[in-house]
Amino acid sequence: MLYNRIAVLRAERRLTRADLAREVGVNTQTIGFLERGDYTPSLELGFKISRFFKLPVEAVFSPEPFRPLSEQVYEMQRREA
Amino acid sequence: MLTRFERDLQARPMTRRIRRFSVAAYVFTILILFLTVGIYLLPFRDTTRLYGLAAFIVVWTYIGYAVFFLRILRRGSSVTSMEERVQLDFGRPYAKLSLMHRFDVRARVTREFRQGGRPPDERDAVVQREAEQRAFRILRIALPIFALVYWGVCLSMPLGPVRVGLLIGAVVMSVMLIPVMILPDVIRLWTEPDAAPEPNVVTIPGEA
Repeated sequence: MLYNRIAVLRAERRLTRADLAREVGVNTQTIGFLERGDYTPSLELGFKISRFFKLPVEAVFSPEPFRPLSEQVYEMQRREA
Repeated sequence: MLTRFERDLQARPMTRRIRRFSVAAYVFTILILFLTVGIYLLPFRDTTRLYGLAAFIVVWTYIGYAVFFLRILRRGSSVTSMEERVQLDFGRPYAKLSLMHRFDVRARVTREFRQGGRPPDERDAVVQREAEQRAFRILRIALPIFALVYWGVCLSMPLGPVRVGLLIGAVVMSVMLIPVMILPDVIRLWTEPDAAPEPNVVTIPGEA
């Protein structure tokens, strides 16, 4: 099982599934399956998606569940303070 | 006001439950059709030479029907529903689209259905490959069992023309079983490349 942040990243950039699907060359429904965790992408697709978001692969995909972004930001602020 | 065609296309997308029900109904129908025709043709077996031809036509018609039906089912499940498409493209319900946009979406959905559903991507390929692997694994177990049962029935028959007929069928089936059992190993041995040898590291004296 591979966890991903595609839904969050897509929402941040105000992209529809169709937009992302068009950019990475898959069907719209495949993006839905990816976001729901029903499909583990190939390495090629994983790299395409992370390149599209201009992020390293490990920022988009992870073998462990991602911690909520709000929690991470709060922790960073606490460390800086 | 939506036309009937639009209402049909707007119907809820094909869910897993509907798909499974359709497949079960399809398998049941095919089995019943085979049995019905088999029972209907049996009395003509020894009286007319057309029996063989009729059996041939019926069997191949059903095989064609089976493939065609499944293909239609797969197409139906792979086309995005009209409402979902409209939400994706325009962000509002179908009923609120202008006539021009409705016509455009309808034309696209219809074209996609005619072309055989959405174009396959890597997920479709993976799903198809997994389905084929699973089907082959089932066949690899079920066919030998079926052949053994067939042999058992054949050998339990009294000596005579019926037993000879069954024996020929059993032998043909067993011969056809061989490729099913050995093909994966044959393909693997045929296609596997040579192992990459470990590079031979040469140590130059004085550089170690």
